[in-house]
Amino acid sequence: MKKELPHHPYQDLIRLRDLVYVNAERWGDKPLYIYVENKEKHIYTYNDHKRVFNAIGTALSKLGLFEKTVSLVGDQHPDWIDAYLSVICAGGVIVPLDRELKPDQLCGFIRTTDSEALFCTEREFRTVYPALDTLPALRYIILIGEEPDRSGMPEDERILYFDDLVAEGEKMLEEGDRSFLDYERDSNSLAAILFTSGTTGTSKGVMLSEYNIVFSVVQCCKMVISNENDVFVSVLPIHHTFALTTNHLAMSNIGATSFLNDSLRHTFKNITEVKPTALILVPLFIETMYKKIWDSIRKNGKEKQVRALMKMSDAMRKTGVDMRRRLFGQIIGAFGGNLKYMIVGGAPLDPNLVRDFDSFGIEIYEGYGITECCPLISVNPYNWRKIGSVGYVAYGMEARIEAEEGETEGEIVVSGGNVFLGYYKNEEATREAFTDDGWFKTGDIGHIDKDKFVYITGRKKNVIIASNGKNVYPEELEEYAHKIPYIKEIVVIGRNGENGTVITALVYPDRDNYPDYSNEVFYEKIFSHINDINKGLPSFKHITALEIRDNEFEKTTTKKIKRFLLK
Amino acid sequence: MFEEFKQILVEKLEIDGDLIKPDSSLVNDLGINSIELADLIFVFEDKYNIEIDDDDIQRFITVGDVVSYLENILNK
Repeated sequence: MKKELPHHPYQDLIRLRDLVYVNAERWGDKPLYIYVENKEKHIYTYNDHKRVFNAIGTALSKLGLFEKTVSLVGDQHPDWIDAYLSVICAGGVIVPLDRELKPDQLCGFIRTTDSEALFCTEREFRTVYPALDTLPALRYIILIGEEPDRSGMPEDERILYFDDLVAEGEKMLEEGDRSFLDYERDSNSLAAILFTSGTTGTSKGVMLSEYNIVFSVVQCCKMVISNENDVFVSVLPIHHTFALTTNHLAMSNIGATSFLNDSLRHTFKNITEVKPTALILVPLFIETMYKKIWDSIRKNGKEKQVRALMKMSDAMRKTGVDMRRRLFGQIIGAFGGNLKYMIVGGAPLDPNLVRDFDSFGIEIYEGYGITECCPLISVNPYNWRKIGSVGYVAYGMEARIEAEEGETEGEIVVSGGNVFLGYYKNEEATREAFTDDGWFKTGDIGHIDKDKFVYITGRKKNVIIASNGKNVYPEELEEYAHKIPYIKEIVVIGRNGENGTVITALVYPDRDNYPDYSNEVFYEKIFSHINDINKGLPSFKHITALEIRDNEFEKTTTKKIKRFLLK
Repeated sequence: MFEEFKQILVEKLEIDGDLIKPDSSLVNDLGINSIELADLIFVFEDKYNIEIDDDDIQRFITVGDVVSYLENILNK
């Protein structure tokens, strides 16, 4: 067992703009992204990235958007990443938002951050534009990604197009404008606000500095196996800090190429066609791939045969003979044939899946992160993997366990250059998030072994982690459900089910106003309302189980429900 | 359309056909997650040369929701 961390061809960084400049120099016309637009594949090179980044950054100065707050929402696309980086490097604050937000929530976040511009795709434009009067600070909406038919767009000087800005910026650069090229920002000041899932009322804005982001990018490069020969299919939503830091920023710092998945529907088709060497995923994808593999094996009646081969192959590997690619070529072939490893984070993963994929020749490296740490806290380095652990404490970080006396398990608290500045406009939450000596309290319970590998066993906060890695805040769902007339008290929890986490509503019904209703009647009526709520939410937030209680919830002296008693 | 969707569920996901009813919940009764559903929907896109929005897929709860959505699109 090697006890050194791996070495990779990453570039040490101080500023985010160096990520663009140095890597354009190193990798030039090599594709950074391959993406689909108007149903055709396009290549976006490291040089294109530098050109567009400089042009957009320069155009921001003409729009008076230096050192301003700008929101950003859309599918993964090179425009998205260029907007993100140029706003930060022009001294501003970028607010990446989730495409799945409801219209009022999307506008709520734009309003609460006083965003002066919004980069968005046409889909979000249709949502935000009619509400423009309610967003007094918003001066511009800049359309990114696949351009809409301009003749069908309203005539309004506040509407701008990304490609026009690139042309404008290039012209300014040609004329000698160096406002963006020479701009130096304070790397410790606020550069990004990432909202945790939920409504403006329940969500917390995680404030990150440029230094936090750069630190995390370099951390990822130092910890993982990837190099310039890797090809990724990027499938996770780009605003998600796990995808953004690893699949976009860190991968561009080692010269890799990413195919940007154009739709969830095309994921497996794209993986088969693009033949990636590596994937960065949340457990839901791994579980689906696993099911696909075994369904196909069973359909061909070869389950026993494959299990026997796996045993034999595992035994041979112990003697130094690796036949996996030859023996399981057909299985690996379903994912293009070149897939060697997958980096997984965001939610707990069953170690048995890791072992089975390992037997087939696809290695899984599990990691652990949290938005407040941008996100990396630990990951299994390729040359030192412990299945069941979420990995080695990341380079440059320290982690310890806050345990009660005599206990070995407790809350994981961390410190390092990637730990966030605090929560946006929420001093109380910020105070509560740190220990007296300034370490960040993750809210996760676990232990750390003698080799600095982290194991997670529980969670202190109410948040439910869906297997797609997204956080579901029970308070948000409770807020919606409180509007159902038959409910007096409700607590939403996550329970482990056969197919992952089951979001369950525990309800004490309003027996005072509906004294004649039986539990069955309450169940029917409440579930029908819950289904209406579900229809307005992305599927990972759906409440799929309901339990009607005979008694009120037990409460504290301050009349708060004792949630920790509920399982 | 119901029979066609049912057949695909049986073939591609090895789900017991007797369990598949119009009001069966995709997640609770049939254990289908959003990625699997998107993958299945792609079969219909390919077959009928139609385009279905990812966002709409997220909102399906029952087998019936998917079937009536597909019927609507195909009748347009």
